[in-house]
Amino acid sequence: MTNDYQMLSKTAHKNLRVCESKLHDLQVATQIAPVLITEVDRLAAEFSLFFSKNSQTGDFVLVALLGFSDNENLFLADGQWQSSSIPLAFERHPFLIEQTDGSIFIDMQSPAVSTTEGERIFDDTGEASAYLQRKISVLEAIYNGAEPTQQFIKLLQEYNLLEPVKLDITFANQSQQSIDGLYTIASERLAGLAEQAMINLHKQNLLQPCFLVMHSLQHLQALIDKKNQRL
Amino acid sequence: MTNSKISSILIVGGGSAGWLTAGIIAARHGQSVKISLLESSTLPTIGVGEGTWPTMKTTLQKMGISETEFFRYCDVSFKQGAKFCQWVTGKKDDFYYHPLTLPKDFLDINLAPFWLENPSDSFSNSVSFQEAICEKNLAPKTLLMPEYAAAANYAYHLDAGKLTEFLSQHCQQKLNVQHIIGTVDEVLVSEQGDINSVKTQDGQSYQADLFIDCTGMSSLLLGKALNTEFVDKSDVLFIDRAIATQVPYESEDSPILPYTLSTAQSAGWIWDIGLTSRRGTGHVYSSRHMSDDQALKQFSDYLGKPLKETTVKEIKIPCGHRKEFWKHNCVAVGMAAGFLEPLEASALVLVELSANYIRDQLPENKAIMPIIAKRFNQLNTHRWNSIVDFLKLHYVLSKRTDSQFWCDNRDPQTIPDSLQELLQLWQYQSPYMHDFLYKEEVFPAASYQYVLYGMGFDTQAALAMSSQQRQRYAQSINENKQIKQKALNSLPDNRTLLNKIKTFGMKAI
Ligand SMILES: Cc1cc2nc3c(=O)[nH]c(=O)nc-3n(C[C@H](O)[C@H](O)[C@H](O)COP(=O)(O)OP(=O)(O)OC[C@H]3O[C@@H](n4cnc5c(N)ncnc54)[C@H](O)[C@@H]3O)c2cc1C
Repeated sequence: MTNDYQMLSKTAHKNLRVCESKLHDLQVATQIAPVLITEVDRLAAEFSLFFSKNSQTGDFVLVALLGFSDNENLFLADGQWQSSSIPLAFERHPFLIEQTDGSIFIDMQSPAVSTTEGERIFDDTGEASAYLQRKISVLEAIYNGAEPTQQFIKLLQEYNLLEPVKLDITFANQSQQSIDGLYTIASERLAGLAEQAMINLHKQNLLQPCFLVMHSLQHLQALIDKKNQRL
Repeated sequence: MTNSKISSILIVGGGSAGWLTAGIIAARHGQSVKISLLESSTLPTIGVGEGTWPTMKTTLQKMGISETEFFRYCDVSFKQGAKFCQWVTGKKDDFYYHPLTLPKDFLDINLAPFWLENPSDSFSNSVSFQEAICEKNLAPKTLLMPEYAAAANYAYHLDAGKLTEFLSQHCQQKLNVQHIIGTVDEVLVSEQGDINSVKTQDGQSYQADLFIDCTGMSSLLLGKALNTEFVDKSDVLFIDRAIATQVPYESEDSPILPYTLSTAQSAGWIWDIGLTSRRGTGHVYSSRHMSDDQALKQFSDYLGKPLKETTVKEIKIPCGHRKEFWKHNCVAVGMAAGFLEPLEASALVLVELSANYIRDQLPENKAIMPIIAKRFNQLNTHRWNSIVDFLKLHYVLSKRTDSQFWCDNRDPQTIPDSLQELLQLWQYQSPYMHDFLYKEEVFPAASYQYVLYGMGFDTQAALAMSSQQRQRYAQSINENKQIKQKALNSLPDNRTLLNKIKTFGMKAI
């Protein structure tokens, strides 16, 4: 899918509308979704969280596992989310926030964007509509969460707390699959962490996310069950 | 000699050999043994030697070096093997590969006899996927793979000058190696033949329990002070000169070859090694078979630009090694121990193997030093001899007749008995694990297979093969095809990945 992000402008984009239901193919087509540290509390209740590497830079990112093959999102059925909450990364579309200066962009190539269908983004007076305001709060949450998420991952690497996990799964129909490229918190190393490092994590409120990420692995079985139901 | 512990080691010489040895030993013993490296600030290092073996990965990793930092500092690129051009017939399209990945399933099955029955594709292409990715200039891994991990086995191309700087910093900052500057002008030897101390031009004197001679070709301690005989091998391997020069890339996105290119000439060969910053090239030749002018001319032709004597670095290279490598309390590593032409980049790997041995066998007390020295000498004599054989093999199998150099190389008088014996053996059976006596051979049986069958040697395998064996062979060959396809689809362009490593780095896990 190609994108054409333009900086959002009250004048140039005055008459645009967004039809949210047309966004779904963006969501279906993904096996993992980026997660911010500010979302871990909420998402760890339903999703298995891991770390994986950005394919362009090799940098670690925090992600939720949504499926077992390239384009599989098992949390969606008939275009509807089956979970009680979803990662912010899905809610931002068709907008984007620039991490450097916070400017907002809209994807003119998105099938959801037109002048005819869906919610208006600016009202008659040219001010942000209630819809856009909701979107802006999502974008701001992403903007504010990005830096602490990176800081979290940086510390985990510094304290050598990441370790690779390989998932070897046998589904109900006996087909097998292994998934590489996922990492989690090294629980033994966390338990044996030097006092100073432990205190440092604790003071920055990063200890709880560590335990939540480890704990979230228990949802893997539920995800396998979801897949089995579809076989 | 007293029954005391070895508590101090002095390494003399700060070239690649000196610093690698320091790092390898200090990573294990740096806290319990005092390790110092003394080097001259006026006598230069040799400044060449830019291709390694895959062993270097483990060597650096064990020293606690970040592979990313190493890539960035030393302009490192990937080496997936060597491509030998014009070695067999001398024609334009004549080439074969010696890749660093073992033939498929090598530890379970020897594919060579099956391939020999019906050699439709080249040997290396049939049993390994690496030639295919090299021909497409692909990297041996992706950015997402951790440091030192590989999809296809690799070694390094590196800037030799920067390597010594890099190792020197690491050894001093992280491994507790003491760095001393000074030029040794006197070596004091006891009546028993031990080295007591070395004295430098500025009047300082340094003692140690064990001296490691890394002074390069001058072999100051083992060769000069302890008078250890030099075993000349130039009657077997004729190369005795090198002219080297560094070449810039034509543009910022010229391909970086992921292998060492070795192109045979009329009395020698030219190496071509692509780093991220430049190419390093050189022509090594036999001065008995070619004049310096001719050598320069062929080198200019290869590079496609006129070279003057002043723009190339000239090195006279010895061919041979010391008769003993460890004598009394002195052991030599690197060119102080000996040197053979750089055809298969065997020098640095031998440095690593020697230093590993010293690290592992560092005598608990001085009384057992002679026993360890004796064993070290036996092992190394074997190693040097087998390297000589392996290098000579490349010349013996050539069919070139265009110059006296190639013909002389096939004269049985110049072929060691040990190699003649192997060649006889290989007429009827292909080299495999049992042909080799030592666990840590410098070149594994796979290397012999790649060179033999890459150069068209015919083994008349007479053994009957069961249908199960045939099936197993077909399966391996097929799997290799699939892996090849997958690798071709998923591995990135070599320069692209090297640029990304510069920008983003590789992760430790
Ligand atoms: C043309 C050519 C190509 C090569 N290509 C390869 C290759 O591709 N792969 C490979 O593995 N190897 C290659 N080699 C070999 C490789 O370069 C050497 O094995 C390696 O660099 C080790 O050299 P060294 O440290 O033993 O000696 P040097 O680099 O010569 O270092 C000697 C050191 O001793 C010091 N020294 C000398 N005398 C004194 C003194 N009196 N007092 C104090 N210090 C002293 C010097 O200052 C210097 O630091 C090549 C060699 C040549 C000639």
